[in-house]
Amino acid sequence: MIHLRITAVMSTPTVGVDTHPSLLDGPLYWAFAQRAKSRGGRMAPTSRAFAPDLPLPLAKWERGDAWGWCVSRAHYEAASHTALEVRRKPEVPAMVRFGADRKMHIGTGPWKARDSLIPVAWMPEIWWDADVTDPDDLEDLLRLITHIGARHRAGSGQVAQWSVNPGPIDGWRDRPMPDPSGRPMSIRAPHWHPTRSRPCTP
Amino acid sequence: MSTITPAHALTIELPITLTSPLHHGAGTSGNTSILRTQEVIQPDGSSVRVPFVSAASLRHHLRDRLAWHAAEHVGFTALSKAEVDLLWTGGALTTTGAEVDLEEPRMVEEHYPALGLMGYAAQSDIMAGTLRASDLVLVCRENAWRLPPGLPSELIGQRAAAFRTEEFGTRHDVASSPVARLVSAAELLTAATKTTQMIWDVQALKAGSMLYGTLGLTPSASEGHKLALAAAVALWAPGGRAVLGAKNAQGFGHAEVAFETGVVEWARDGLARWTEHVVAHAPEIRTLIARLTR
Repeated sequence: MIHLRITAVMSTPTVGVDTHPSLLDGPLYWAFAQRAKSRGGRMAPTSRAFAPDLPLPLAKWERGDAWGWCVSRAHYEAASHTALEVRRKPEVPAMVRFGADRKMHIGTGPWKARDSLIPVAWMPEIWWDADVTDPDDLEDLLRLITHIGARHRAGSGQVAQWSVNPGPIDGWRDRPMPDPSGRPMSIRAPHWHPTRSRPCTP
Repeated sequence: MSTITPAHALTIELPITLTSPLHHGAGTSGNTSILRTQEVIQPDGSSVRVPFVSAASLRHHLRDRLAWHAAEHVGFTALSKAEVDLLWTGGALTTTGAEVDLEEPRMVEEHYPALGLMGYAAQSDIMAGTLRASDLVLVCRENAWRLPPGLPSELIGQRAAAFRTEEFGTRHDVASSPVARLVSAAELLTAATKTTQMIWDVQALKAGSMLYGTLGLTPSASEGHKLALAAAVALWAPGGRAVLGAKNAQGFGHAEVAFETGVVEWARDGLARWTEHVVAHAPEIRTLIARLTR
């Protein structure tokens, strides 16, 4: 097991990285699943009560009945906070051609026109500290992670390059950890899944 | 210790040269349609705003072409608003519930994987697509640090402002045409005396400007997703001739895409196979679209 600092050099602004701890095990979990699928592998199906754990190349910590991966929150210096404009127009011409409805209200309902401003942050670099058990596998997974954060299907959070360097001992400890007096937070990937939530000290 | 360049499972590079002015709108100010720009942090830490075409716009062009192709080859004659929304803009959440329907994504994959390529929302599920589009960024000095090698140095050497222009026109004023006889009669009735002339103005990127972006697929993209992407590329840029941004009907946004060798043929062959697939699965696709939006 070695201590590493993993740095992403970004070429577009990120969405949501500054509003969550953004632990690196989240993208690594995604990459592991993608790699498994591309090799024909099948994961146990996720349900509301269960999400599979994957053998990430990271050391584990344990506290009581909780455990997680030894990786820190995302660190960064935001060079600028700005906004991403997103528009979504209803396809009225096709509704006219194929539909029978007499009216389409573009201001309400699930098909309303949207003009959204999404907060984004320019982060030239984002870095994490981690205790890594298999550096080669880590690099293989990083090669698949082309984006970080939300709105990635539309170009946000694009990673131009990853660099992996020796990191500080115990650098991974800068992260949420279980604490009965804390507030609910995710302790390990997949972070969106309700079973991963524990009271934590941020 | 080591550096790693992340890469998509499949990447299509898009070096695009505009053959007409391009407009990608950010609203209006008076009679002027404003060109959309994005903030770009420079290597020295300063911030500039540079025109671009958003990835969302590029994705919509692809989704729109696939939807019209489906309309033609599936033989849709009547669609509900929800069905149009699903095909053309990705759908919407219309019900609540914590149970994920695993059967529907399998049906999507089997019959109409274009939805799985682009991503969609239906009932209480949001299904992530496997397509990753990038913004189309202007080839200019402000973007030089994030552009790949090999693009024209004479363009990269110029500031973004050098590629901006404004196109203007005048809405036809019938007061100076034979139609004025009719207008005059109407004006007498309403006591209106003003003419209808109006100058419109559009901020644009000049013809000859160059944009660069990519389309990519994640490692889990299926063969169906690859086929749908090939078809979308062929429909959007047949032979490398594409339209981008807005006001295409007024002549804006025409472009040449310098695809890598073999991409045009890959897309053309893919479109032929995709069309065969859509025709063969037409009844199932009709049922699927209705099921996803019920």
